[in-house]
Amino acid sequence: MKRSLIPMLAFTIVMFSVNLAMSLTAIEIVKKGDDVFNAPKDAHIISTMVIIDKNGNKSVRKSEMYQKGTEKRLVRFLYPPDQKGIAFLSLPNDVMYIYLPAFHKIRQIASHVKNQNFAGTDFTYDDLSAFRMAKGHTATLIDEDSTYYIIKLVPKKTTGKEYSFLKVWYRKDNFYPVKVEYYDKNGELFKILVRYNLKKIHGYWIPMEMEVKNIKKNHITKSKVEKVQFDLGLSDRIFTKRYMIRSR
Amino acid sequence: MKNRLLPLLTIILLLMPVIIINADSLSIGGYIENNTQIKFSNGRLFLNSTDLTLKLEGSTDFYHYYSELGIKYKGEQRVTDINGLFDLNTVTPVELNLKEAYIDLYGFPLSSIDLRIGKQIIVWGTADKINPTSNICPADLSNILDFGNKLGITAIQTNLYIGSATITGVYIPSFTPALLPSELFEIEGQATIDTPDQKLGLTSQAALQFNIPVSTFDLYANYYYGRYSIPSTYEVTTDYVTQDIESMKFFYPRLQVIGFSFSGSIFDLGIWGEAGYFMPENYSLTTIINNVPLYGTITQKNKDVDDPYIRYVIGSDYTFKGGLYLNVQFVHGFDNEVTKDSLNDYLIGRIEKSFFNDKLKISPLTFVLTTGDTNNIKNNYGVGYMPEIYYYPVDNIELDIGAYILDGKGDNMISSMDKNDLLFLKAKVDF
Repeated sequence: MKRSLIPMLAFTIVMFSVNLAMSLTAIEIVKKGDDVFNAPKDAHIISTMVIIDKNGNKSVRKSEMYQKGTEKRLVRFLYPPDQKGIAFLSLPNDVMYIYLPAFHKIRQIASHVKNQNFAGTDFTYDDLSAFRMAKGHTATLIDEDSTYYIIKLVPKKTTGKEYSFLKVWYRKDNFYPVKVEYYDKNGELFKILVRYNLKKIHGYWIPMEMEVKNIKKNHITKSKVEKVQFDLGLSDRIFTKRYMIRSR
Repeated sequence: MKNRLLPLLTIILLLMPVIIINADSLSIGGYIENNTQIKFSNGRLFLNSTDLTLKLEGSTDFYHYYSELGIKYKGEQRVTDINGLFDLNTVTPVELNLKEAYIDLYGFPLSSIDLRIGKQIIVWGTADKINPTSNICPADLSNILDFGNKLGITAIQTNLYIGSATITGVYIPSFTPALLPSELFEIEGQATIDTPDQKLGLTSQAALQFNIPVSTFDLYANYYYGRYSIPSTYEVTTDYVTQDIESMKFFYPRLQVIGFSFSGSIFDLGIWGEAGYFMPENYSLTTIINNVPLYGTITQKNKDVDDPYIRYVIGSDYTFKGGLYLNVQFVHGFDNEVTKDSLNDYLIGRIEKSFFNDKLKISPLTFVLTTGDTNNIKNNYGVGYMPEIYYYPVDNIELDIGAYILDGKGDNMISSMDKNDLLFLKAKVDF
């Protein structure tokens, strides 16, 4: 009896140690997700968005985006003609600018705009800003299965978010956040974002397709990546008002 | 009109292969816009214009070119005699307007400098639509109720980028006056305008601006040397007996403006402010009175106009939960108020809400309030109410319906237009 107990005890101790090392806290999962999501040093992405209303009518938007790190992003519309040339610049400390060619000037946007939908899509200005989830939220692991960690994220009061909490599905194999459910101040689900067709390009994971659905309005925006380049060594001068007014 | 259009189109067609071969990303686009305004009081068609605007643009990493040509049919005929019936230019006259045509040179002559040369619209200032510090381009007041529009001018604009700061220099060699609204202003008697002779010393204008971000704010300081683009009266001739104005003489006084502006946000509230210190040249307003009994003609100098003055705008905007957008501005001195005595105060507000993911936008409350005498508002006030509905049924199409409802008393800009309540409709397609 004694002889069989010792190996069993030893095995249990080893397995316990291994499990301790493998189990991550919720915030560690979110941080890993942020690291994977924001892994590229910089990126240039051209994408097409299709907006579908509740009657099935479609509108198309084509845009290009430059991003550097997690705090600088420039988005420029390429199509349709009535929005071509409009550019949006997001900088650290919630500083945002919009360039409207028809008005011949760049206008600073106050942060009260960030929760509004951008250009008729189901993305908000905040969605277009670069961010790190771990920095602005508290995290709780609420469920998991063989494929996903499901984390509840509650925004810190200083962030001024439109939602009261999020549920985020992180893939266990690569920690990429592939699904986000948005809950309003009443705790009701109002928006779902899903990232599909995850591919590894130049060593980085990127969803080639994305869909945002506004539950209450029954309105969908689908986004598809047409072209992506990473680690181009983008200069900081791209994330300036000087560059915003250029057509390319 | 035919004579000017045909050579222009020929040149464009001949240049097309050259442009296509050399440009990296040539694009041709534009829009068609129809604008109809009907007076409430008598159902008169105040405006019925159709505008075709063509935009030609191309760029590489080193340069960019842009041009915008407008062809406008005002919806009115100009037939004055029977011969006019045989001429398309009088039966359906059109106006040709090269709004902008310029070349951008990036990183030239130094990597930190961008140049823009050609006809261009330059708008400075942080306020919405009313910018006291934006004096480079003359105002397009052809539709005065749609204020804030500018005419393009030929200029050399240089932008020097030093870190996060920008220094902008602009030189304009020739003078362009503002476009005035003929329907709203009636001049008694004969009117003559003295425009500056075409000499660089008389027509040149220049401007300089410095911009730097400080924390979450943008700060601007600028200086303008040039002329008023709206003419000022310097001599009036009247008849003592009939009391009629026989003639008026106008000119464009020289002007210097020192401007400051800022924009930023405090606690999610967008705020901005803009102020211009206007220093007009010294000139006298003279009245000549004819047919004075015993004296014949008397000439008297009414007053010297040289007092500097300040025009300013402060404003704020906020978007409430649910998407209701509020924008409020307080304005001291409108664009057409060009002397210290003529400055009035205005409170301008706008509420806007979008629906159906921006397919429908309603502005149920856009208002302008003014008074020329704060001690006697009851007899000197102006109120403008401008509701508007925008509808975007599909991409690139905009339909717009609204009204200008004006009321007032006494001596102010709005009361002078109170018989011009209008319903307007716009339809636009971008391509």
